[in-house]
Amino acid sequence: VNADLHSLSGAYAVDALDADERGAFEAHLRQCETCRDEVAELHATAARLGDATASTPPPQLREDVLAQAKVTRQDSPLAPVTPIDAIRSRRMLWLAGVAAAAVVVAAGLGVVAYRADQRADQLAVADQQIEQVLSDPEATSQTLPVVGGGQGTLVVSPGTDQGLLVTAGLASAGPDRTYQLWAISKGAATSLGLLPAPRDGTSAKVFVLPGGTATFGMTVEPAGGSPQPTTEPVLLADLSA
Amino acid sequence: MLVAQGDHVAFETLYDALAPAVYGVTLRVVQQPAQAQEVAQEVLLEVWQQAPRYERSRGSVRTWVLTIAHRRAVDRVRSAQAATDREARAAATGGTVPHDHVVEEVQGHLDSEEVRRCLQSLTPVQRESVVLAYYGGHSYPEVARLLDAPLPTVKTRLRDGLIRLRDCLGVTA
Repeated sequence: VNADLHSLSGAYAVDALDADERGAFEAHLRQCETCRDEVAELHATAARLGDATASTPPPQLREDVLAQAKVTRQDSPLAPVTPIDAIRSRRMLWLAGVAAAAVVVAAGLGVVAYRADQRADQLAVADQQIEQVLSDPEATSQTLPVVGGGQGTLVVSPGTDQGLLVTAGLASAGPDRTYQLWAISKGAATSLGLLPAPRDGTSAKVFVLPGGTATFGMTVEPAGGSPQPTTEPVLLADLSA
Repeated sequence: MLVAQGDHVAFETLYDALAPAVYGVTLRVVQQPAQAQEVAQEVLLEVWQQAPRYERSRGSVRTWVLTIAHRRAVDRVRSAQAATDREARAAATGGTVPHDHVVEEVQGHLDSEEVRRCLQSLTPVQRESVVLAYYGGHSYPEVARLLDAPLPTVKTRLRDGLIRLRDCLGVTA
């Protein structure tokens, strides 16, 4: 399948794919760095074709565009455009909203801005818990790499005693395996529940975080989870600060 | 990019540098001047709005802007109404779009001697695929139909045609 997808780079660069294929290819691009490089070059090549057909626009266009720009707010620099499009195309709208919000949080704006905007309006299944965590003005976040690939953004909301983990680029836990989340204090681990299986690397889980939790961890466990961790953590976050 | 910080004077400069190419692309793909102007306006406003999100590592500003312009122009011609109009026009001219003419006409109007020469260095199927997809705004299944060529062939020709163009033009991302 990958070789086949890879051959779509030319058609993608000149917008000759339909919406479904475009989505599938963009999902592939997220995983494939050489493909991204190739697409960047082919886009640059296509732009040369565009340049060669330049044409003086009507003067009205300039007036209209500049006037409209004066009354149009610019977007925030931090929302991740491409991954969101890719996730969207997989009809995971609610997760897309969460991921956008979490990345804004993670980017360290200092304020937890749950950029619900239109995206959340489209969310048929807006998860109230996630929204609560993300809208806590006291919430803090950290983004950490996951052993085996991908990253997790952990948002901790002191106001609601809840936490949220959102992943990106996370590999499958493997056959008959699951990711399990833990609160660790004084050498004792308490299960926070199982992470739903990632789709396109993305998953999210809200959990109640026991007060005084020193460390947050994620391990790979047999399907169904374990009473105590049985493997080395693939992600550890220090919450003592 | 100053535009990313909300600088309107910088945006005027960017407009003057890029609007002709943006309008050229939308006009070429959409074909009707009024609609092309509309699409160009949407594109340039999108550039203003999204400027803070532009990432230099992903290519030049010109490439970024023209990529948006082409995508929006293609979205416009693929919208339901436009597709119907297109079919009606095709039916009126005898059922098929005379694609040879499209390819020749496009090449005759290109400003850049270098782009013309490099297009000429492609094989005929590569050239026709690239021209019909980029300048004609056709999807690759449409290109396959127009050229009466198998889908996988068109897919491959688009890719290797663009790679050859890239090398001929000395393009780097």
